[in-house]
Amino acid sequence: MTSLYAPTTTDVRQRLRPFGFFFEKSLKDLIKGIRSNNETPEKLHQFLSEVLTECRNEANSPDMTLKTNAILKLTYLEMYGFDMSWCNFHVLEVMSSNKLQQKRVGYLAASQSFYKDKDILMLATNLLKKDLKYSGSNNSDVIKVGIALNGLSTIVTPSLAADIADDLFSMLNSSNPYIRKKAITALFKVFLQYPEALRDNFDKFASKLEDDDTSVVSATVSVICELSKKNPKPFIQLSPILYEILINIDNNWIIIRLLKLFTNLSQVEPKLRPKLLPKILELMEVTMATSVIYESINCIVKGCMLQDDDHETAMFCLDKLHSFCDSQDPNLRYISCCSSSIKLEINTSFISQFDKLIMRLLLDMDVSIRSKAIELLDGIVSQENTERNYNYLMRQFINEETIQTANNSFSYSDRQGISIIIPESYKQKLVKTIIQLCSMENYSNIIDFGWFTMVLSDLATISIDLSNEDLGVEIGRQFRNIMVKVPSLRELSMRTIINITSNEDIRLGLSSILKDCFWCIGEFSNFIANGDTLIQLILKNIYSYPPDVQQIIIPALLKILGTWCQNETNPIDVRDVKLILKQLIEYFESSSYSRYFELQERSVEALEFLKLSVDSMESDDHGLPLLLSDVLPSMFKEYELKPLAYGTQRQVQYNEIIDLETPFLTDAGLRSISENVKYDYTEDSNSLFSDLDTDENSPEELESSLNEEYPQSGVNDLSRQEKKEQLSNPYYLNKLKNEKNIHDNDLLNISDETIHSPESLSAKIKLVNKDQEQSPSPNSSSRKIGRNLIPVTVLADEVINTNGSTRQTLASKENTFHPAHSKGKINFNIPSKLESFDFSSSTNIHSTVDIDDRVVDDNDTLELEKLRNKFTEASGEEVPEEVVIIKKKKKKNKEHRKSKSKNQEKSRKKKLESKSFLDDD
Amino acid sequence: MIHAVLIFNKKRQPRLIRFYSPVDLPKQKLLLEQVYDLVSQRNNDFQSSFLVTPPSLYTNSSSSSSSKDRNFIDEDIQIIYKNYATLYFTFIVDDQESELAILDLIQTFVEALDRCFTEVNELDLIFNWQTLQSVLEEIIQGGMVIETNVNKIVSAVDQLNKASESSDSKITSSFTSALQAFAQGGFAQWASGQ
Repeated sequence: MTSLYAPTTTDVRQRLRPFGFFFEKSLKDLIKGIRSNNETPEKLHQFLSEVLTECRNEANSPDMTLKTNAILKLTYLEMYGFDMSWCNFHVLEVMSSNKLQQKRVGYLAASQSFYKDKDILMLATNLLKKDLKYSGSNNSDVIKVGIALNGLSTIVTPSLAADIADDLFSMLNSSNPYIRKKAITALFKVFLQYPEALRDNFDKFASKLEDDDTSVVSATVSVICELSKKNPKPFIQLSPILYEILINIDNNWIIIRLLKLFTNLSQVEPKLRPKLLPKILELMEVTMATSVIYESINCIVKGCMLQDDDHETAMFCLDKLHSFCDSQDPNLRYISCCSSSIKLEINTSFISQFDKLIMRLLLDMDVSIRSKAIELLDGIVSQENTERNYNYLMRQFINEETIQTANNSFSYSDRQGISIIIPESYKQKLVKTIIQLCSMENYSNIIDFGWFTMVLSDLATISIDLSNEDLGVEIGRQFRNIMVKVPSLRELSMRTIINITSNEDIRLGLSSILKDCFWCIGEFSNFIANGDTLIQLILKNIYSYPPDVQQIIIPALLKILGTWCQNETNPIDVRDVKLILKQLIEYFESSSYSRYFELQERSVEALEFLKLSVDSMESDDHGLPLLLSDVLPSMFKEYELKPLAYGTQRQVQYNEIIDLETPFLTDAGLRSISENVKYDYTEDSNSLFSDLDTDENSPEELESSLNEEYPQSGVNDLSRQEKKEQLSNPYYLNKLKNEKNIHDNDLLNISDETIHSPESLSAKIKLVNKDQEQSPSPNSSSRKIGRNLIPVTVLADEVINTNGSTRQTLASKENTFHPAHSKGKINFNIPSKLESFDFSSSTNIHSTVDIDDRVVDDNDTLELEKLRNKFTEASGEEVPEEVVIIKKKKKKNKEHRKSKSKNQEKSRKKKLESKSFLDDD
Repeated sequence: MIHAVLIFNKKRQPRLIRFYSPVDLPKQKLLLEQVYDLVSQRNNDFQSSFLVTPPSLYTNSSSSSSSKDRNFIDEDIQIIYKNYATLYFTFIVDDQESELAILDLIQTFVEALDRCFTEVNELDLIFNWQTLQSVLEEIIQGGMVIETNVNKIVSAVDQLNKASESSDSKITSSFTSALQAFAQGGFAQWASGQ
């Protein structure tokens, strides 16, 4: 029988946890648990997932203590990668607790997790407003507001910012400096999201610069500094006050912030220079702190205060930098590279001074310093030192993970044998830097291109181990550039390229380089005497190439075949041709069933052409069919390739009015032609091609050549269909030639070669022949290569129409080719409306969406694209609510306007002051 | 501003992760791993406190020294760390923060911790994660430095703890006094006392 006083289970539980934390794991227990389960990752994971389920239950409990405890643990567990956004609502409950301890936990959790879910903040707005009510009556009130401000600072959204701005401004008048500094700092995030608040209360905000408390001044300067980075204009009027602070204050932290701030300001206001520069130089003399000296140099250089003829200041800064560089402290050596980089940009006359310094920094034992130093190299390269720089850099590959004995030029020669690890990322950077240095300004620094091809093949070998696709692409691109741009070096480059393509390691480890290599081999196949061997060589390994390389190989094979068949000096045996054709057909047949579309399509096209050739050879055993000896080469060899400036081709497309409507062939014409073709098939193939000479528009011919070559034009945006229309449309051609003043041979893409009016084909063949005669005839050696160094001419990029487009350098061209890989990348950008905010206009409540767009435009990453979508979505959803807010505002607006007119008067006065300040000199 | 503060030990166990800019959790983890990899390769006695940019922070894969890329974020972000005994204190900051000033700030942070715990060691920080958070909150708010004075930082933390305790105890004390009043004088007296 149960007694009346028999304890129920809940009673027992209550009794057993008098302080609320008995049954459940506290954070301490959790940490202990993690420590004791730390032996294997699996065990830890199992433990943590158990804890998580516990927390899940505890968070659902109505008991606030229990809930808080669970939230605290979850906040801790986020460190181990467990998302806690699912309990955002519970966090909100804990935040609203009256107990400060619980509130603290709530706000901590909120600042960590609320950014993932903007909706929860709408629920939190009222709570935040309540927590921000500061009566100043007792201490716990101060703490409460402090906690709220702290939590707030990481989670401000545009709508929240608009709602709480007034509360924060009222807090600036608090008697407690602790509140003032926290409010000022919280305002920073509000201004980012809601710049109107800054515009309307600018003076109130700026008055905090004259606060009695140093922490408040410091916070204000910090906020202005951050804001001025995004939009410096409105703060220029504050420069007299800021200047006063700089002169009078004794706090290095604030001085550094001020220097940063003045850097931002003087970038847009050159009048600050005469006033500031003497003061900064004086500061550098007086101060003991290296950090202040360093920031002063930064301020002078980045703030554009160093004029070209001001050698005194420059030398002064330089001396300081040199002393940093000689320092024992690696941190000082590091920063010395940071500011030299800027200096070089501004004043190139000091290049020779820096040459030695940079070379020394390149051998520093700290990889961070080296990494900074190689960024400086592009400022000092010249024709004379390119090879030396290269040797310096190459030595760094060899030195990997070895013991770095002290260099005799350094002062720490006693420290011998410190082993450092050279990370792969640094080596990748080295490769990129070498390429960039050499290719600068259309290869103007390269004297000996033979040397450069050696460099490239060295780099290719090195890059095998670096596991970075981009490097292969980059090196391949360089080979292609040299091939196209340096005609006299083509033979030598060809040998290098063939070596690379036949290198087993590269084929397996760095296949990204092969695309461009094979393209070069195909395009300049006239340097290859025995195409048959080469074709067999390529075919031997063909299946080990990735499909994207194979699709480049296919046209390359055809080009080689064409050149080989066309060879006049050394007539080839028809049986050899048949053998090669057989092998090629074998390959194309198998790859016609490839699951990679592009590869499949190209194979099918090539296959049909080759089968035709074989057929024609069957019927005529004497000599090669015209299809191979004339038609195939003519597809590719029409015009000489020339380098083309980036964007030129696209421009042609933009400017061209393309008639896609008018049929080039009437139905009747088409029918007659196709009948013709059928007829030709049944007869012998020679007559077909004699026909072709007079009638170029045979669909067969056009189709095959078009398809063969089309994929070469990677830049081309036009769809296949449009392209075809262009090709068959003589109107288009005429325009191209006459109106745009384009010579066909200016086009980078050989695909355009096939477009010709009838009379040009015969001339074309001659042209190709002539071309071959000019090129050195093959020797008896298998691949004839000669080395002629001088004179080397580097072809410049050809520009067709500079109207509207700027001539872009090769470097920038390469950069634009790179897509921004944003997957897995971290972007710290906080979206803000401040950059584009116009402080002079007063009505832009509705322009939020516009502004967002503009902000986003600056960044091209996918991530921001996503953000933009989110933003527009969010603003779309919020529309009804915002209407309400705007209505409320209307009342206030009148007051605002009054105060604004006052403000304007004030600011006008201020402006006058600042003007006189600026005009002093 | 300061974008993130990472504290971890030599075995890559996180001790504190605080991001002031919105970054997804998986990316936070990735960044921690990459930063750890970079830090652990370094010789702290002879090498500087600055890290080369980890791969996840590159926004553009092309060569970094052309002028166009200078504006990109990977040039701006600095990772600055200091090693104390078994722990690494890592700050991820942008170009508006001075490198050397941040080094001082890390020093201030550790001094403040030292003051709070007297002779701070890793174990203290492991079990007093909340205190670690509180101290950091008094130094950095939303990515902005609000205080660099060790005395002020420590006293703010003390005040925070005192206030939290007193507010909690105030409720319980008023409750106990109510109980006492009820026991002594009955309901009427207690009610009149309210």
